[in-house]
Amino acid sequence: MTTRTNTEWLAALRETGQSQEGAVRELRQLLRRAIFSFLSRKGAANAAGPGYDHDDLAEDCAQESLLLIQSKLDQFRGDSQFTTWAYSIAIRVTLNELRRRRWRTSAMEAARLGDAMPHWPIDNPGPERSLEQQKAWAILSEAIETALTPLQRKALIAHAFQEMPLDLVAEWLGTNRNSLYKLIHDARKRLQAALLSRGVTHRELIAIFDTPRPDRPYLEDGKKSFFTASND
Amino acid sequence: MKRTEFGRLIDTIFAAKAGEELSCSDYFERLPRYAELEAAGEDAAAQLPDVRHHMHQCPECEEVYLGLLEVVRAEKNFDASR
Repeated sequence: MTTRTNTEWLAALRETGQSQEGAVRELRQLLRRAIFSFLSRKGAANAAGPGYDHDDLAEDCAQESLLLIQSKLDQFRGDSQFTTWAYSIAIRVTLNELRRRRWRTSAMEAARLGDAMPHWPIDNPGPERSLEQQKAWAILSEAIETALTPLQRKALIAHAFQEMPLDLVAEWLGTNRNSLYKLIHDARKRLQAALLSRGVTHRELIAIFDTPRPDRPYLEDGKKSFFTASND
Repeated sequence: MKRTEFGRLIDTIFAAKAGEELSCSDYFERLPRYAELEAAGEDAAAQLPDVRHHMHQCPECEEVYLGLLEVVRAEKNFDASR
């Protein structure tokens, strides 16, 4: 296999004839190897669900990635290796396919999509589910019910609580992924304002549901707990 | 929903910035550079803070980053062993 510079990759893929064929063949091999290696990880294999074959999936995703890469050559910024850019497209295509498969096998009823708030959002709540947690969840779910627009609520519930992939939520709502991200971003801002106006801080909400971790970079200084204070 | 996912949702609510944030498309344009910096041992988050912020806010986009980083590191090792 040859080693090409970014300029050589772009030139060869834009040419016609043998030079292009060679570059396409080489790129397909690289993509296939990267995708196969990625799929071989335990997490990805579990996510794909039953009855799938690494080889077939790697082949299909490599082919789809290749077509996308060829159609997006003008969008390559040149601030990374060409192959890194190509791999980013391949991983994205592969994860999209895994998410679509996982979603197809989930039992979500179309009638409930985007509408039903979960009674309790966390799997296996266990005996540690406290009154404080129930109160915090009631405040958060009330904010989701009242502070968001119907479309924001629908998108957030389908994606965050019913685990529908973003691209599928976008298709379902007749929009695109960028617009959907903006919609959910605006929903988060509204929720943030609603919670802060009720005196609920990030730190205390996290402390109630989880143990704060040092890798959470956005924790602000906590005030006296809203929940503890109101329980006094 | 797993407890970690619920915690992440709470994190993203409070980390939402007042202004515009990087879109998923803009993120994907910058991601290859970010992954290469990270694989080279540089502080990618300090150099490209908007990319870091987007991946915090969008777990699906972060999943692509984690997969890409693995591939880039594997390719580096592969090249070094040749």
